[in-house]
Amino acid sequence: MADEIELLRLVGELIPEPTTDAWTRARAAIEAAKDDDLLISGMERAMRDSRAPARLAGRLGRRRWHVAVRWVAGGAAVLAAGVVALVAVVVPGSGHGSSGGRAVDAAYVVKRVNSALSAAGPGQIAQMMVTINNPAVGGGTTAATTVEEWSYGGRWRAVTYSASGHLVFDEGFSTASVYTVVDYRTRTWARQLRPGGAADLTPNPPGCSAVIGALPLLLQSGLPGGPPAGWQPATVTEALRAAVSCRALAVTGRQRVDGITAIELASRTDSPISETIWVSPGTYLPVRVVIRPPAGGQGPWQTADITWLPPTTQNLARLNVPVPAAFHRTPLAQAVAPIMQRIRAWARASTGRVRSRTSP
Amino acid sequence: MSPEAFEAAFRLHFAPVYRFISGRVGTAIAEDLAAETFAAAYRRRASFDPELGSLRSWLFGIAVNLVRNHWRAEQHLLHLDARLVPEVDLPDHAEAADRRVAAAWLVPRLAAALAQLTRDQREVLLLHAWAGLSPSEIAAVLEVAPGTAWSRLSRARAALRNSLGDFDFDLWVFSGPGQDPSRREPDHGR
Repeated sequence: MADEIELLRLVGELIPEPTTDAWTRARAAIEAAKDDDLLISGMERAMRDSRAPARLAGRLGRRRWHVAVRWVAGGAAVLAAGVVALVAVVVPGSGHGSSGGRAVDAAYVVKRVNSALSAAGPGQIAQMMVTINNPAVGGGTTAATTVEEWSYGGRWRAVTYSASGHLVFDEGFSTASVYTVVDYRTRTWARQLRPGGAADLTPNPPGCSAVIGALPLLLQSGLPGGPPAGWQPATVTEALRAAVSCRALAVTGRQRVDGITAIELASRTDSPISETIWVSPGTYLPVRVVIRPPAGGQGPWQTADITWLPPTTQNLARLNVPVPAAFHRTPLAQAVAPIMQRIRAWARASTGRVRSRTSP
Repeated sequence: MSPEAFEAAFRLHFAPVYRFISGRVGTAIAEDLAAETFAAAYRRRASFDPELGSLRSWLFGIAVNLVRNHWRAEQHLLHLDARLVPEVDLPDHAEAADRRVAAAWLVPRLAAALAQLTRDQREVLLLHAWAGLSPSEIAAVLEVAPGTAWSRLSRARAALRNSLGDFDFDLWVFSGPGQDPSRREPDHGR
């Protein structure tokens, strides 16, 4: 004869196991709790270093101070503001932060940027307006070329304008493997599956030097045919994320960018590429990237202003490369020759420098 | 608790905690509550004291407190379950299939009976039956004396039997824990 507990246990066997989503959600919640921990320890250290808690502790007592910090760390909006304040207190040169505090806070910001980019990769379209200033012979810079670019998953599109503002090239992958390029100067276009021949354009070194070197190339209107197979990262989001993950960047301050007080991350002095990334304190997504030649070096100076768009039908349409009806189709090699020439020259100048500076 | 120890605890206890919550408030809410259980556990990990109870009972204690905020959802689920025999996936193995069919038949009757219990009675019963906690572990979860947990469990069992009314336990024979039950004359739902 059964009893009531046995009956309950029998019914309990019908309760399903957790789904993959349930596991994923739980892991995300734990990671968020870890972030809060990091923030709390960072805030405590920052406040201690800046002598603020001494006054606060006098009023509240140590125990209530802990409660106050935990309360502050609880709200997402306050959390973001807290980090900004935190960064302001402990950035190098501010005179308040200890080296331990800087490490914690830089780690916190980098971690948040990394998480934001992970989430943005599949969920948002990166829209960029890239301005490229090439050095002129005899000093100064030539007139800037601008490239409007979109990157979303395996899809990518770049529209290049001349210094005088005329449309020059429109190119991109409407799917992960179909490449289209339109040359507005010759009124020609070409389309084919991912073409070969691009592999010799760029080095394929392992490790972080590759991703650091990849970022400028991705920003410069991409590569015809895309990066070689097996070369990661393949998207702007991944490139940014890899650059951040590789600890090539450090928090250096704050600056107003497009109306927001963005957190500034700059490449370390030993980095082969000089990059500065500004991230939104609310979303932790990059809003501006500037790439310069390293100190004393020559090369193009690029600025990319980034907007993150939801993948609506209208926004996804921006990833398509339209072909004007009157244009003539040509072989791909002929269509991309001018772009290849430009990229090859740039790659020779920039990635050669990466190689020489990262080689043992 | 080190990060490695916490990760090991998560791997070991997440599924049982999730299932306990899911059985009480449904899968939709369970995902959030189970996630919050472990996030809260991480935040409070310094407060875990093995001398006060096992890690398992500490985690279920957090889960129980979260579920308490969703008693309306639990009550609603029980009322729904009391009306319907759930559809179940049947495994190929005949004995296992029989066991799931029998369990499905029992759901409305047991849900109706559980709905009549007090929250405390239901809590102690399900911690024992679904979470598999011993009375001493339940005492740790509820932060009461072991003797109190024993007596609460005993009273809850009596209350459930009472709620089941004329349910004929003699018709249900279990050959052993986790094995095939057989019914002589199932008459539930009539």
